[in-house]
Amino acid sequence: MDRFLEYFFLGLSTGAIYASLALAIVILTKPMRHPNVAQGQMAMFSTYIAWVLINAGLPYWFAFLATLVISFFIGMIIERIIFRPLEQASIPNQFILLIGLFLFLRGTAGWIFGYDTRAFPAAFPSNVPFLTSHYISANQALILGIVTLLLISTGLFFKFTKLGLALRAIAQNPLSSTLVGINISAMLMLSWGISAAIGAISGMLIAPTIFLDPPMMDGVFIYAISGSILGGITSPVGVVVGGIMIGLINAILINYLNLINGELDTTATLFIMIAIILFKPTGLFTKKITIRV
Amino acid sequence: MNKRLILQLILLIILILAPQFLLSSYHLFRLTLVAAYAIVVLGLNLLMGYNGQFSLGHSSFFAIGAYLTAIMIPHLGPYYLLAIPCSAVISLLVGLIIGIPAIRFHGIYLAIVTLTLAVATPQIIKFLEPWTSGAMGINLDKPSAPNFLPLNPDQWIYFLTILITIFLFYLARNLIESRVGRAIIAIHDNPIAASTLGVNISAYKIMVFGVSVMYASIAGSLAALILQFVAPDVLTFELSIYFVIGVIVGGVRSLWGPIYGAFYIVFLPNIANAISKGAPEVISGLILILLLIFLPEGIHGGLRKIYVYLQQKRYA
Amino acid sequence: MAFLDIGNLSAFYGKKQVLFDVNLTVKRGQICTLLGANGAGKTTLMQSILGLVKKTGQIHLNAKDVSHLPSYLIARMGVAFVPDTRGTFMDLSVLENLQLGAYNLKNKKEVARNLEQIYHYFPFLTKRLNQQAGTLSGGEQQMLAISRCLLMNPQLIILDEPSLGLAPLIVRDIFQIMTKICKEKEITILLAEQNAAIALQTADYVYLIETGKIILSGTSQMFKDNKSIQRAYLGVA
Repeated sequence: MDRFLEYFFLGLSTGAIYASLALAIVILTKPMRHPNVAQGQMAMFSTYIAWVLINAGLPYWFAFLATLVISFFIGMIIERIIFRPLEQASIPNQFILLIGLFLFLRGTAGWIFGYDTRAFPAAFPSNVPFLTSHYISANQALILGIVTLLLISTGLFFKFTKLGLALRAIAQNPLSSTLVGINISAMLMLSWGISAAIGAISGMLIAPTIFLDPPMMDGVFIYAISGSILGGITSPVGVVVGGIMIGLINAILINYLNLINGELDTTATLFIMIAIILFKPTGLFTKKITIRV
Repeated sequence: MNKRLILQLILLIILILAPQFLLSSYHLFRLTLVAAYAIVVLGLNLLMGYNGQFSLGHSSFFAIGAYLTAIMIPHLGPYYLLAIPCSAVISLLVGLIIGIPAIRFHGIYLAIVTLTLAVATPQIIKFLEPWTSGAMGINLDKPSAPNFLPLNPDQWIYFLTILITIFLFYLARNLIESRVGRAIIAIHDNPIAASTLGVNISAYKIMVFGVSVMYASIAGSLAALILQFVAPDVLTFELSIYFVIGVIVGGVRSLWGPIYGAFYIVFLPNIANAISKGAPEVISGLILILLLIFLPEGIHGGLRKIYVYLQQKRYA
Repeated sequence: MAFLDIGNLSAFYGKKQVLFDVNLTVKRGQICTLLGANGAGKTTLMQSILGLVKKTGQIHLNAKDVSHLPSYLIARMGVAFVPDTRGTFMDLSVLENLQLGAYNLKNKKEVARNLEQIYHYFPFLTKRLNQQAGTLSGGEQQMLAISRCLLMNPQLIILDEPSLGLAPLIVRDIFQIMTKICKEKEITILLAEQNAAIALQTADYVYLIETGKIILSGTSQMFKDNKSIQRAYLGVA
């Protein structure tokens, strides 16, 4: 039982990180109508920025917040300079553009920082437990806390603010949004900024565990996307629940129960994905995905 | 026989024979590799450029072709070439299992599922260590030419590869220019119109996907023979991305594109690595971004524009 | 005084030209109708005003040149457009649809006042505020669209086939309300209609458009009186 709880909280906190990246992805998936495949690389790059700041002497939380702000602006700049020329282009063309961005960010990180893995600090030393618990560490509790806060604030933002309403509107009906005077390009820029900042959070939270190097976010991205497919790729609630579920599946089925060889985690995820697409392609929480004629 | 056909045949013969005798061993090796990569890029171009679907997992089918060939060849003796079609069939099966659910649903899912497959492939290879020698990889011997051909092994493998490449290009061209090909292109350009005209969209999409999978597998089989080595850590999803780059840089929806693309894939990393280890990706990423903004049709499209421009100047 | 002034407007879908050198003016506070068959170019003309299609020519709004402005800025200048699909935000609630209409209004009190007015004209809205907009009937969505327009405090309302797919009684109600509000607030209206009867009844001025060209224009009275025009163009025996 003890070990189960340990793995449970491990899975929950790791899943929360996948969920946060999935959230970053879904914010852009809705207006763009396809996921941003470069989101993981953006998060990785943000984490390197945080690393630079921390190494320059900034306290952890200063660096954390500064990275969020910097990432927000980088996200906006990327939209303005790279994505905007193709705003009206077809989805396949945008997809390839994002692959270009993927490569560019990955290569730049490798060029500047090299491919050796680096350590990245966590908020607390790893052996500090959460309060007096035997099962959950302080870091894990912090991760759960941050992600919960993230979810609540994002939810409130989208549901109750004017900007949030505008962002939801442009995802649904770009033409009508323009006709009420919403500047779609500016809103997209904002969405990119928000996505980038949230992605940065996921990068900084997972880096202590898997160490910082350019390919760092590859696995996280796959899990975030498969969580999205599990939960419903256009539903914010769905992608979050899906992400957490993937984390739990990984921790419990694979590591705790050893049902599946630990080295085959991506393979297991692949099978889950195919099963979902076969039996409930819209995911557990979405009813339908409309394709506009 | 008209003049054009004769000219084409002469060019083909030159292509088949000349490099073997004119190029040094090393350059011949590189050219052979280009030919093999041209096959997988062609297959992916059929899928992406003509049919409008996306796969980020062609490295997996390439890997299956390469590994199955490496494993089978010691057992096949003089019939080692059979490894190529056998691997292709198995790759096709894997591809269909992965691809059919995704294709029937929504385009982006194919991209995601194939990406996951590509990431999972090195894992699976390492897991199947008893057969694949895990992370260490498998070495292959270079096959010698049959007795009646006066070619050394490098020349033989070039000869073999270029013949297969020409054949597969020929098949692809026939496919595109046939009724089936027009249906494939119609599905890309206007799927709704196509379906109202009675085109069974899913069936065609699956067919094109299957063809591109087999092309990737054949290319992998040849690459295994050319490089004499297979290992999991070079068969990652990053290779898949390079294939996509090859398609775009070379030019989508063209038969020449894969050739330019293959040259890019084989030569760019070497040149760029001299600058820095991250440079190939930075350059490729930039090229992709700039291409899409300014020249979506790639090298082939650019060349065609220059050609048209020059023609106009001539007749102005 | 011309509020909307269109000069030498030609519009294109890709390489295909669909409007040919169109000239059109609408006076402030006027209701102006575009009459014409399907495919004549009414929708394209309206989309051109909002900068939604490729075009050449000049468009002036209140003497200001808007030919090169992006669509959302034209909307913010007070041009409200209801496309023939009504433009409902289907998955958002009715209230959210209305709030989007008021998106550019800074003054919260003004928004609240406008909403009250809307509820006065279309009382059914108050019962459905939290309902998903896509569940409303065609007529209700049309009234929602008009409400969204009015919330924008527009100076010009452009309506593309407002009667499309609606029962005659609802059409009559909508047109009555619209005419009333617009006369009160001196809002200019440009509407495109295939339904000649209701169009002639409501409008002050008529433009007849055929295959991308304006072939006739005049007061609606002139159109009502002239039997040969009616026979030739409006399908009346």
